[in-house]
Amino acid sequence: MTTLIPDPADQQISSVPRRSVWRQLLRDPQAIMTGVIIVLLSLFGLLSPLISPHDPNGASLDAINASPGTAGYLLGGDESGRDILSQLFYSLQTSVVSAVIGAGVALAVGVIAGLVGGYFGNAVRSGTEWLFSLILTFPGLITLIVLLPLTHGDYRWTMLVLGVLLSPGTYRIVRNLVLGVKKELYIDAARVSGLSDIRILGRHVLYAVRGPIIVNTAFLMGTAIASQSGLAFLGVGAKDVPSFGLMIHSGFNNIDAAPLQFVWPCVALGVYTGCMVLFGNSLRDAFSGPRPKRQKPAQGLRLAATAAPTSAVVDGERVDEPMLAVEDLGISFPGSTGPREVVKGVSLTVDPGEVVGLVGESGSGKTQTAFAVLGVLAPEARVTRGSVRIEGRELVGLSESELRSLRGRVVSYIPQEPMSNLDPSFTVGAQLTERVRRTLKVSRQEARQTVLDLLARVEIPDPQRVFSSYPHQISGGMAQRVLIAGAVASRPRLLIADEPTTALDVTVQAEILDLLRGLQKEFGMAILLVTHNFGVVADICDRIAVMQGGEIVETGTTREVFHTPKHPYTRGLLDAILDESAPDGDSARTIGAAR
Amino acid sequence: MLLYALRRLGIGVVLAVLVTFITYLLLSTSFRDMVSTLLGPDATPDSVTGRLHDLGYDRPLVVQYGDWLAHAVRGDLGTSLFTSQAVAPAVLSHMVVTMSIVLPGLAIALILSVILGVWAASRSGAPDRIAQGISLVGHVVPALLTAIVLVVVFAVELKIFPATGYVQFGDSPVGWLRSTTLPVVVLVVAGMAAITAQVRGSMIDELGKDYVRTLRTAGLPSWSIVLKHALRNAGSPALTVTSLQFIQLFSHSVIIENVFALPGFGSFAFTSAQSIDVPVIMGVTIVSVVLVTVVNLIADIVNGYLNPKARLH
Amino acid sequence: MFRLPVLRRFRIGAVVAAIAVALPLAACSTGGGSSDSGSSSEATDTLNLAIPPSALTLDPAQMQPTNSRYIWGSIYESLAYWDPQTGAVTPWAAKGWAYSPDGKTLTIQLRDGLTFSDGSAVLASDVAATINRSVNTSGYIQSVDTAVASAEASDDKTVLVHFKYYDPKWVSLMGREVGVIAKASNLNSPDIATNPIGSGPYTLDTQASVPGTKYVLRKRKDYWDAESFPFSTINVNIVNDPTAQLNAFKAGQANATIVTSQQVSGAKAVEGATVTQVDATTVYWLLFLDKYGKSSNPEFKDVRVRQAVNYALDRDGIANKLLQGHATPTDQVFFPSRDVFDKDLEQKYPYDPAKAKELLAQAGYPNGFTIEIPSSQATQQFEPTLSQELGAVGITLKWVPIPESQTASIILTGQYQLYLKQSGIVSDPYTAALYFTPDGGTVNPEKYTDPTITSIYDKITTTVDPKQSIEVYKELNNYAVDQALAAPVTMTAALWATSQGVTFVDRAGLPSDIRQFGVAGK
Repeated sequence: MTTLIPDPADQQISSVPRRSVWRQLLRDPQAIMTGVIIVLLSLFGLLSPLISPHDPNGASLDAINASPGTAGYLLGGDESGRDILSQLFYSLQTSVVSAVIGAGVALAVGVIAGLVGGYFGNAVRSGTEWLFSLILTFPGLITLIVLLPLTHGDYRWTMLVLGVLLSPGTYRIVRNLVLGVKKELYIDAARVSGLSDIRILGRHVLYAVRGPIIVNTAFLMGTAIASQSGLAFLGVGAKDVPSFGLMIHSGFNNIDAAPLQFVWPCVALGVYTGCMVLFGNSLRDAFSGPRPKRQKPAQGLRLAATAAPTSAVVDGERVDEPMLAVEDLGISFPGSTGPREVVKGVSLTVDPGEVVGLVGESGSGKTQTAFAVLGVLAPEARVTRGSVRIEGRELVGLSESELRSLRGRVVSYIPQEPMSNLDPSFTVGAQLTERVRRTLKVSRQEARQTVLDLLARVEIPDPQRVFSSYPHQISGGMAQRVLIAGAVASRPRLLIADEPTTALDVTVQAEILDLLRGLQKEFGMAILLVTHNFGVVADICDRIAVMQGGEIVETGTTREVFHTPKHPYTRGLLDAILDESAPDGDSARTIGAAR
Repeated sequence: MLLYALRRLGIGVVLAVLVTFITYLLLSTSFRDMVSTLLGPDATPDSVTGRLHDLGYDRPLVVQYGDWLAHAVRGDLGTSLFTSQAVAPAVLSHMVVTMSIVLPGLAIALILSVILGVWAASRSGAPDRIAQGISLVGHVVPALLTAIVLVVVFAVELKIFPATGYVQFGDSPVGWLRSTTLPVVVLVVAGMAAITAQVRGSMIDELGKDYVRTLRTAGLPSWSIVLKHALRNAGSPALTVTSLQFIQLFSHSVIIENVFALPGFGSFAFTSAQSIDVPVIMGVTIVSVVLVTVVNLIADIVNGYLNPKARLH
Repeated sequence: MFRLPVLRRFRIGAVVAAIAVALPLAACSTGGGSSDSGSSSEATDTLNLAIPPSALTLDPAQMQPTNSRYIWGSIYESLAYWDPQTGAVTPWAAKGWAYSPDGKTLTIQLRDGLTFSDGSAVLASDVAATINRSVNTSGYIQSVDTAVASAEASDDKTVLVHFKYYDPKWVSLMGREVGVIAKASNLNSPDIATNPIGSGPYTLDTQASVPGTKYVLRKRKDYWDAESFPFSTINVNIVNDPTAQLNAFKAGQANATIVTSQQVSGAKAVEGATVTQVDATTVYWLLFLDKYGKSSNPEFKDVRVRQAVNYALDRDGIANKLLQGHATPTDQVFFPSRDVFDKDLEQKYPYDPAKAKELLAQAGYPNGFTIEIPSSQATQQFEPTLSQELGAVGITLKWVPIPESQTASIILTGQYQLYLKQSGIVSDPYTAALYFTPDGGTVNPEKYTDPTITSIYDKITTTVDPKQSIEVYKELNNYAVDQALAAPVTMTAALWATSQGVTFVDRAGLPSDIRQFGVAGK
């Protein structure tokens, strides 16, 4: 098997093996710094009885408002003559305990209820749902204060209640994840194989949701610490339990006599909770995998620093220039070991009115080639060499706005997956009308009529209804017709169709191909058809280019390639369709292509 | 739609009854404490018992609650035991104070967050770092600290703003603005953290989606793609976060009101809970339940507008 | 590298943003000549008070002598008031009063020319009706005014108060909430608690006031003794947090506020501000709640243990260091500048941990013992010091936090044997004397007495002549200190910060009274 280059669009993989999470964390300076600070401060807190120079509540009348550096009082004494350093240590202990109890309870309650609510049927779910909206509605702060007679002001009980009050957040996260995971196939598979519900929950679901839960824990702990401090600041709870809130309160009261007393607990609290949040952010980054540096989106066809368009003709148009000419095109993506070329010197031409099939497996670079022609490569992609010309005009190096003048008018695009390519928030009519108005510069009324005509032209039975429907209200085949209607609305001279039938049922596939063929004839468009499916190619194409590993390995008329394939890869692909059992040609695809 | 809203309100009413009943149940353990506090440190057990009886707090709990509910339904939430004021108007007047910091705070936070989040998502680089930084500061620095620092710097030292108190808008619009500015700034900083992160995140997600690429191939200008299409799709999760932030800011306003000595809902709730002013606590409870229910309902309705899939038919 | 740069940039960013918002507003405020800038030096006729919250009802049967007296004590006239200069109970609405020989009837003569804010004349029947209502309505006054049987008007200007027994403290109470006069026909009005009709120097501006938050009082133009009340408007702002109170003062929003001892330097830093210390307004004392030794911690039954506690306290240290001199060390609970206080008794329990240990050993506790003690907002500042000092002689204190609302009732539960009580001292000796008698209410929930106390108490309740009664109180005080019936810790001072132009006078530990404030130079 050939080594497949993963489709860059699929690189955002959400579940990364556990080992690499830690590796990722260790590579992140923010994670290391904040992690070390959290561990150190937590240790200070846990070891406070051992390392504190004084009893935190032990007051010495001589230490009242002692300035920092007084013998035995490194950070000075407070208004009651207590050692501020010892108080800070014990406040850290209080914070650690608060964080553990608050986050622990929130997690325990939220995770269990989330698992139950997400996994089991509707009755259980609506029950838990209702319970948690009740918890969410309970006025949290008042609950804590009203419960003071029951908690006896003990912050640990208060944190326990707070944990319950914080649990809806965790519950929602877990429930949503479980709902998502439940839909995935492997749970069904597990069910079929006879695993009990408990084991399914434990093994699959918990494993799948652990990332967000761990991340959430860091934030919950920060929240618990901040809440405990806030309540202590207000004066809720025991006064002899050292806490940042109490220290801030007394420091705030004493701010005129000794302003520094106010600064210590503020800094400690800020640093401790801050590090929790920052560490949580790092954890999140680690769990969501290595993210390429974000690029400026939508910025035209960008050249690698070393490249220049190597167009055969720099100025003027050649008389015999084809509709589309791609010459020696190279496209690279940043990889872990530097830029990596996924398209390696591709050349192909499409003449006016001609239908050319670009055939290859997923990851062969055919889609990237198509995107380059449209100027919509991913932000991190770079054109390393070569040239792309439409009717003789060089596209490489053009800005987004220059490309925009070509798009829709000269070159148009039909995507693979119809549903995800329509904006779910606007009606079909609104989306098409905007497109038509933008490219044809007509009035709203004219645009509306044009769109309705187009919808009829693409053989949609009830154009009026589809016009006012939202994408989720129409079928996939219907959506593809809508996209085709949009693509041909402005009578483009070149149509790029990227696997236009792959996502559809077999019967619909044939209809869509018929439609494309009809439109091609009617409008005299040139089509570059990107596909892995030789059946589709045989149906419609005049010529074929076969791609493998980022290179064109064979070109020729459809007839030639089918009858006398020269390259072993082409032969392999052709053999595959003959064995094909699945109608959508899955056997020719490989795992990396699954979306 | 109307039916849906009515059903949601119906659930809200059930919730309100349930929550207030639980609250009353919990408070019932403290009725004696309340009257002792009311009568001061020198009160004898006999006088406490007598007062308890005169106020009707020795009747069966269900009767007391039923009595309260019957009055509450008619908009009569009783009279504060400590200040003798009618609870319903008192709760509302304190609510006005809280809302006049929470609503502007949230609105400004939302506007800034959307601008910043969209800017960050569509530009990356410096704008992105700014957005992440602001979101970070809001997360990292507890609102308590922001509030205290602002008071110390701007009110006490520089005297640009009043340190405490609330000026009614009707009395002096400028005074109102000055008395609410610092608390609003605190809430903006606190509120922006979550909303900016959410807007930025969903905008990045949306801009990476297939339909955005397809819209680009259709020759639509960037502003339309970003502001019309992507933002609308990113709006739904951002709205959820905003409504949660509203409840969050609302319930945490007690700390801010304490620092700025604002006579708001939070500090009202806190003082009443400390003295166990039962009629006030009950009023505070029911009003917050109603508020939360209404906010969630509004959020759902707006969400239905933004997100056709969530729309109800 | 640590990602500090981002953070730092943002803190600065936030400040810059805040300044940007602030500047136009600041410009507005200077241009608008706002009324709340109090740093101006001219004499003011508006008093802006910032006080902590307390029960704020204006129902005459429920009013309490807390800070709220600044409000109700200005709206309602009382029969008498306590002179801020001397502490003496002085006739106000009354012209004078006299007891019957058995002390069971008090005849009060009203002054001429008294009018309610609605213009009607104040009659003896109004006074009697107010007293009768308060005595018969469950509530605060009923709980303090237990001796009155009824009151009646014998003519328009004469009130007769009939007592079930002679009550030595009643005349003092007359200068507090018990002596207020409300309009008889208004007593049953449903809004009496929020919209009162009194005969005092001020009326409540209900339009401008927000109950529980802000009270605006306007001076009556027709008041008979207008000269004693210089302020034409009094704004009483209820502020929860002590720091917020001081901030309001610093920012010029309040021109008089209570400050804590830590805040003195901050308040003094305000230009033209004065901080007035009223010595000994509150006594903090340790109550021994189980002197009969009935509980599982019977240690305090032994007088030697109680004395040991007294010896263990470093009262000078607490007053001068912990409270920075804003307190008076004492082992008595009687007001230091008045008659009952005995200077010689101050030498009774010097700071002597060794002696305390010795006494504990003699009582059978050579290794000390552990005792639970309720902790609340009021005890907070003393907790570390008390733990340390009592701990040093072997008495380990375990502070148990209790809700603020239970600080009063917790004493009655019998759950605790030791309690740090905060009592407002009024220079009235009778109230203090009662602490040690079986009628001591919440400070003596077990109604502890012994033959000596019983005999002294009998004398108290039968001695009507004020001069003779002083000697009886002295006897009780002497016995209480000797027997260590309690362990007074310290008497704290009240600290009032006033802006330039406002004066504050209180030489006698008065209940809150608007007469304490004056305009400078008047």
